[in-house]
Amino acid sequence: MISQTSTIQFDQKSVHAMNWRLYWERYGVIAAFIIVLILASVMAPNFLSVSNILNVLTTMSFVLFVTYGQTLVILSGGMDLSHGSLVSLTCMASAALVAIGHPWMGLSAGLAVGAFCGLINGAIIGVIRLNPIITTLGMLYMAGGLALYFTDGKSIVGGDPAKVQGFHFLAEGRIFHIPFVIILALVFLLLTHFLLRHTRFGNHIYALGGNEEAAEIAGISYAKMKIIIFTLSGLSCGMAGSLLSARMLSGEPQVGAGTFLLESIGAVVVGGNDIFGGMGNVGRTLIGLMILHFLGNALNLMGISTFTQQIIVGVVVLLFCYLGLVHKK
Amino acid sequence: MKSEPILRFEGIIKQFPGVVALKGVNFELREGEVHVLVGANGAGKSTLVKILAGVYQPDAGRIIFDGKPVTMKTPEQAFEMGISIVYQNFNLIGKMDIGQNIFLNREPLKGRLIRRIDWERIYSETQSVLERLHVNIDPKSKIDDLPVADLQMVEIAKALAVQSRILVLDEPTSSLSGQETDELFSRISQLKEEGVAILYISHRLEEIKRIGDRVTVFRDGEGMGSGNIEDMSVQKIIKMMLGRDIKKIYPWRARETGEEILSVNNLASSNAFSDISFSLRTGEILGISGLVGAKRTELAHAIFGALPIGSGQVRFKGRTVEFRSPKDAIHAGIGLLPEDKAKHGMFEILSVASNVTSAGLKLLKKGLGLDLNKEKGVVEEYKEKLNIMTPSTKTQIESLSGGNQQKVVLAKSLFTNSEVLIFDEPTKGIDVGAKEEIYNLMIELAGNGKGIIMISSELPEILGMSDRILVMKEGRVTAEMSREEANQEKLLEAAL
Repeated sequence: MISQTSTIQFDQKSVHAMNWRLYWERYGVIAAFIIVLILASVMAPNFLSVSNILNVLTTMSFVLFVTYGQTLVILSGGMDLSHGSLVSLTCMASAALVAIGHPWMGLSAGLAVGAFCGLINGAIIGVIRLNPIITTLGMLYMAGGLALYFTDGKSIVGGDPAKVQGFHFLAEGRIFHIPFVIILALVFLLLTHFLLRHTRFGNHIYALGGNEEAAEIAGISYAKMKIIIFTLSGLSCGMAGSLLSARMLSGEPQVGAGTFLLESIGAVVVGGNDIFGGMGNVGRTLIGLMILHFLGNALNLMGISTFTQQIIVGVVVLLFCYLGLVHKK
Repeated sequence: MKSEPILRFEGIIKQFPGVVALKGVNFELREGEVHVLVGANGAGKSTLVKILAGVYQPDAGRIIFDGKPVTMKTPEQAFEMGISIVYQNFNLIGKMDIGQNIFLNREPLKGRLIRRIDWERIYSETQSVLERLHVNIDPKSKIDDLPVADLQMVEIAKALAVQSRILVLDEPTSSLSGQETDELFSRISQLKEEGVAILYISHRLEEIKRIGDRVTVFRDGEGMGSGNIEDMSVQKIIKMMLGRDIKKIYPWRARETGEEILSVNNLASSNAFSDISFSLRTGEILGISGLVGAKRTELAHAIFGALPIGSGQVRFKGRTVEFRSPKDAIHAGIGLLPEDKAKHGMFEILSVASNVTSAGLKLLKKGLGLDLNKEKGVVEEYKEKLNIMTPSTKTQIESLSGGNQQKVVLAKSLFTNSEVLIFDEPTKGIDVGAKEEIYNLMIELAGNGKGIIMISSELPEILGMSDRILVMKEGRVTAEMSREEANQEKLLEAAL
């Protein structure tokens, strides 16, 4: 009897707390994004201009592709550290073919190299069951080295401008004044969302990230899942790398080092996806990346130095993580 | 009445390193019956279930399913044959909702051109399964937000959502309320009518009478016999479960006990136990018996300051004490040898020596650092005294056998000058030789005036080692008896 009454009381008391918690979990990150936008438009001159917003979105779109791959990996309970180097390597692979006049083969090469490196990650993690962080850290070094190896660290330039126009359009073209790369990024956003929400494969990603053991008992193959997930993650880097080569019409061996790796994980975390997997969606990742980019842009416009910016972004990441932990407990 | 045998085990043998879990088991399951499997811990029930589930492969013997010999190599294969299993520990994904869990890896698809998961169907079918069980929960509730009793029902719903021919329920009522149990039982009767064969594993003897058609009793990896429920009295079942005499491996001898050193008064801790009172004298061994889930470990942790106390008192050496953390308890002179050594008892990657002194580094203080020479000397002494078999005191504790690890954990408590030692399942998972050594040490320590509390699920161990025995059931003390009064039947009756 005593325990029963106390349960009821607890339930009543916690109804409000539950609702509040639910709203916070669901919409907190959107609220944070809106606050960033409001603060930015008030404090940063020229922030609210069409050209500025489109600029930010364009730059962001290149990174967006890798965050889709990272979202799959993190939701499934892993982490892919190899993104920075894979973007550089695939950019080089793509640019090498662009330089000798085969842009579409360049695109294919970029995608293929990315997928292949991801496949290796996935096979090691899935079959040998090595830790994803260690495995992809290894790949980060290897792919980073490879990207520098073939040209001795030099950029790849050249190619016949007439032949690469269509390819260049992918990254720099506009449809109704909207940069094509933004449209491309949105299309892939919808595809990733569909994959996660409406396919069995996507549902199994959540299951694996939620409870590996229970997922395996239900008959979901850990190896198969990890191989596909990391291959897609590599493919997403190939996409970003190829598009970078299309934008610059050159290959930079360290183009992915730094921002790409940091923002690929950063966007997923800041967007409020569960860092241990099992909960979240790609929409959150998009908002996470938008917060990082609009914040950076606003600070730029306010004339704050890059170093100070980094400190501020770091504080924001910690703040979000703290808020994330609060609503999880 | 339908009574076709749907499944037959013939001479199933299963060995693990060091133990024979099943010694030639014969067992038969018929269509439309509830067959209850009973047996003490380690009797081989779960091994049998795991063979049925395709998790383990038998070393010898045949499995006949529908009149044909079969092998079940994987859980999926067993599942496809129509065998559904509800394990005692849940296999649910906390971050997903009920519908997602029930249809995991068998999500229905819809759409011609683009095949996609039919979420409406998942939730409507989940709803109807839950309704059939008379469970009133939203199919979209997240598992993490549900109370334990609901989780059990979700597990059962998971098994019922598919057409099973054999349904295995492993202790399904251990977390259910009376009403939920009733619902489950009426659902089981319904399934029986539909011709499903149900294998029901339970410790609760009163349930067996209510739900079972036939009973098979397991003991030490052998079926001790099967029979219709009408022909089996509870007394008979208990006899079959226990059988043999206790072997005389226990070095117990009569000792002088001193004055009271620890006493517990109306101790309660929310959600775990309530109303616990007992006292312990110096030189005494107090056994605490009961089934898994009787909250004995929680009691030990509460006395040790590792679990908050709701109400009641603990008196130690004549003073009322309030331990806010294990640190306080250790400092006062209480030592706990936890059940889960790897998790709570030792630092696996540290050396034997570091483990022994880990709870009492204060005693080694020298200037700003530690007196490692003193550590070496002390640990060598314990190694000698407790006969710890290790190549050196610098060896990682991980590489020692279970029995020797237990001795190191004991040395840790002795190093901090514990006067009361709480042994939680002291011989779990260690071999017979090491068991005897642990028993000898316990007797010796009691002889030196230590007060000992021994929590054990092994009845022979409780009977063989204790001077006095408490029996706990579902967080309460149900019996207290002296060594002379106690026997297996009395202990079981109080525990069940």
